[in-house]
Amino acid sequence: MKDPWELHRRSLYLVVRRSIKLPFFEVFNEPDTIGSCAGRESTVVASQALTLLNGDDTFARARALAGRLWTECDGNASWAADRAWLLVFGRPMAANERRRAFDFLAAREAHWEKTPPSEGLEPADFGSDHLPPAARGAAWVEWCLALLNANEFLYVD
Amino acid sequence: MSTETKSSLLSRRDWLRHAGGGLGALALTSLLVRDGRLQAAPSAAPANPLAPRPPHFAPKAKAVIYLFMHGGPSHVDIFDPKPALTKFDGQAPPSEYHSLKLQFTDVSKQKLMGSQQTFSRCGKSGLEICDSLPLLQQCADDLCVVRSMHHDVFNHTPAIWMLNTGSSLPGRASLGAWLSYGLGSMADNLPAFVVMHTRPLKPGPGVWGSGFLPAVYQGTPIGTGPAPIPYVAPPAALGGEGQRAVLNYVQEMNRAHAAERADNELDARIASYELAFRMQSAAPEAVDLARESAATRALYGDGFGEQCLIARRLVERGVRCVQIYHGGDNEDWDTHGNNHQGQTKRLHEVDRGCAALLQDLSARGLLEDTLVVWTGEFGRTPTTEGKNGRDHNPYGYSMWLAGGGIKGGYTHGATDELGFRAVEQPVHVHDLNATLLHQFGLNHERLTWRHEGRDFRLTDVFGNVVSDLLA
Repeated sequence: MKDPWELHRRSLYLVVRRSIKLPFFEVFNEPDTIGSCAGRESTVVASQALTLLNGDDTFARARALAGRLWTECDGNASWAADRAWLLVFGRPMAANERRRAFDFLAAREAHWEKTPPSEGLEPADFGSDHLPPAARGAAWVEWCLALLNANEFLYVD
Repeated sequence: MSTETKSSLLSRRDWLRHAGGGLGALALTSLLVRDGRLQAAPSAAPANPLAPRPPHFAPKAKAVIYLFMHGGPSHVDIFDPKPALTKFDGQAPPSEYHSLKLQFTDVSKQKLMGSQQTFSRCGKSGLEICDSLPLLQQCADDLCVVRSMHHDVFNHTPAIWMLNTGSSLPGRASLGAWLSYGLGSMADNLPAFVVMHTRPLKPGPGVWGSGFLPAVYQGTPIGTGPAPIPYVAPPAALGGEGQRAVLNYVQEMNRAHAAERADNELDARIASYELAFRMQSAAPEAVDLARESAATRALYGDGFGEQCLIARRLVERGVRCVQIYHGGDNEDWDTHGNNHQGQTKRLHEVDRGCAALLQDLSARGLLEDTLVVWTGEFGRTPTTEGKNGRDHNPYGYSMWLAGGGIKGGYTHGATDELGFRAVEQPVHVHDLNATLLHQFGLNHERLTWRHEGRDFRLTDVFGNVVSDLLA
């Protein structure tokens, strides 16, 4: 595929090879690739939480989301937080949610100031002039990982 | 948010249950407690749906390892030798069996087919086991073989549902889910109910699901091999401390989100994140077979044996129910053709694991309160399908139990002289499930969940404890 952005689509559009099962799909009850399937089973188990919390896929998405927010909002943290809420939850951020979000971001940034983050914890670079310093970037990646693990994002209301 | 808006969104039944037992409605619960409408819990912690609960009466078993032979082991070739079938091999089956409804064959058009297996009387008990299970034969005096199992569901998927949930239709709760609901969990850092399978199965994960019971009680599948639980460690860059911070924040958002909705799945997902966090430290150790001695590894062997060894390690660590599915896909017990070769291959695959499990549990003093169950969803026909296959037969088949207060060295019931139907001391799936619950100290008639206007049970409205099977 020439344009990697073409891969960033809902799994509905993903080309599936019958012989290869993706672990990410398997943990969410991917139907058997051989027979027909009338409906996807719905389960809630700890292995799904582990995959979403620790998996490479969500972590990469969290880095990409953080990079996108900073790029689109020209490094304005307040706008970026608003934008995140609209993108992830499809609604504006409430005042108490904003307070809590910035509490989290400040605490994590302070942590990463003391313990500089290792490589791999920075927001994805989309050619922005406004990428945050390392400690702040790491905090935003963590924050985005949290949003992608929130039930409000995972469940359709 | 006011209580008025909440109550109008929920049915009264859900609202009451949720207020008392859900994680999501903490705020409401505290309001009710303040108003004196609900008894305050002894601690301020949210009600834990997996907290240990006392059984109805003193139990014999604490855990069950349920070995499910997917596809249908052939009882007349394994535990139920039929000299008459051998004698009349190749002849037409008697007309009294022509009316049996089978999936693929019409009995009247088939021929009787004697077993090519040989059998031995084993142990002090003289229990009969085919010679393709040489290691299990050495455990004969621990086994309780039921030769008179029966139900009437002749197709795989609904029959597997039947065995697991007591109903051939999807939607009911599985045995493991009922046990988790009835007794809670003994393992803080591991799921109460773990499932292992290596090949695709006919039914989906609903067969270890919780049906109408809260979603927190469903089975958790794990894999095998070097990394049986994917992503059991946080990303290296993030580290454990960062992950706890992320998780706390996620859970805070999730609780606020769940408080405005009445959905036990949301509670279950909150609980699953907490369990996932604790599993990160406990699970890798629990499934790490490198911690076992070379002698133990050799005793169990690989493949199915490794799964049995993982099952023993899980049970030692307090997991209540471990279910292992053997078979599936094109290496199944479903021998519509080449019955003898197919069954023999499967028997050799499971022989070492089954025997090792029983011997090892016994040596560690765990067999006393660990039930081991070995069964398929049905047996196979005494008649042919095609040249040398056997069709499905749910009307009479064999399974075995061991440990957990079950009588060893005992053969229960009988099929007719050809092996078509259970005729002496028949044991229905409901009777089996009633007996399994009984060993856990649960009265199957009292373990209920109100759903759609009536109390549901694992045994529906049937089932009798088979006291002959009890030690």
